[in-house]
Amino acid sequence: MSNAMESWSNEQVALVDLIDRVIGGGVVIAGDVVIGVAGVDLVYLGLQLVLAPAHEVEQSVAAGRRPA
Amino acid sequence: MDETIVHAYGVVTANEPLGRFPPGIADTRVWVFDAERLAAIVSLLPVEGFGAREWEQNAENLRWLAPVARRHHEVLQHASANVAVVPLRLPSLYGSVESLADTLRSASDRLEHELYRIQGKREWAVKVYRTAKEESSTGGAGSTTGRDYLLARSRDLSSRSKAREQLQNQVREIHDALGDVSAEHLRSRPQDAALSGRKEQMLLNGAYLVSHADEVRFLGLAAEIADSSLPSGLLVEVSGPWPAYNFTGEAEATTTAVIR
Repeated sequence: MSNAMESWSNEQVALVDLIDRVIGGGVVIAGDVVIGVAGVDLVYLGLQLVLAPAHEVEQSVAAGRRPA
Repeated sequence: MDETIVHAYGVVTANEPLGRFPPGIADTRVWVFDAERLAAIVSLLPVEGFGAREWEQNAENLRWLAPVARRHHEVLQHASANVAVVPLRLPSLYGSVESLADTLRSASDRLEHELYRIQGKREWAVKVYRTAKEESSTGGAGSTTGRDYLLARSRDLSSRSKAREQLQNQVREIHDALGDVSAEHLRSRPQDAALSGRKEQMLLNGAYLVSHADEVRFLGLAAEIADSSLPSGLLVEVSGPWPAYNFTGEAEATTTAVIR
């Protein structure tokens, strides 16, 4: 594989890529206790505010304890 | 036993061979729950810690969200290595497996369509960064008169805007060329440098749904593009295969990703 091209296999996926996909992609099928639309919007809004230092948070998460 | 809630990771066709799953969110056991023709990949989470209330309170807290997102992804990654999987968007909570089964049944047409859409294909991501800094402005330095200064300044601005346009075209060509080898392709908004933690500016954040038959060709082309773009200051990065996050669900969902 070329030097200019990097492809991951085992290394950790960047948090920003992950969040982008698991919250921005995929399918929504309404369930009985899924947070209401308003709640999800809130989640989006909040993430926009906190994602800025995502890579730093990730480092601190990796270094410290994982929530159980 | 403490009260639990069902977390669904993704949807597959029933009776697919999925092997042994990695641990789920909060180290829970992951299994496959059949609901007629479809099946959901699920695990049981303690309500206290992962219920709707926690989502509302903690979804903005990356210390809580990051491990949840990571495990959700790892389970999907495992499953999608072997079969077509429709990833479910977070939060993906159900009160019981029965209610999840009802939900799957009522959405079965849509889900089967999604499975059909990604069958035999995998998602790849290609990002293009700009390694070279924008040529630093001479800003008319050394001009002796105001008029010289303004002329030099305007030449400088127009050459920079031309260079920018050229870069945009180059990136569009890269995306189109990769798209030609893909079943579907789309551009997400480039990630902000503050989010990616990278110094280079992201010019392309592309996703490509590539059939197995075309994968070698796609990756070969990406490598070729990476080599030929480097001298012009573009760094091309390929990652994948990913679960088909960008090619399932509503079209608008893929373009309204979190990034500001």
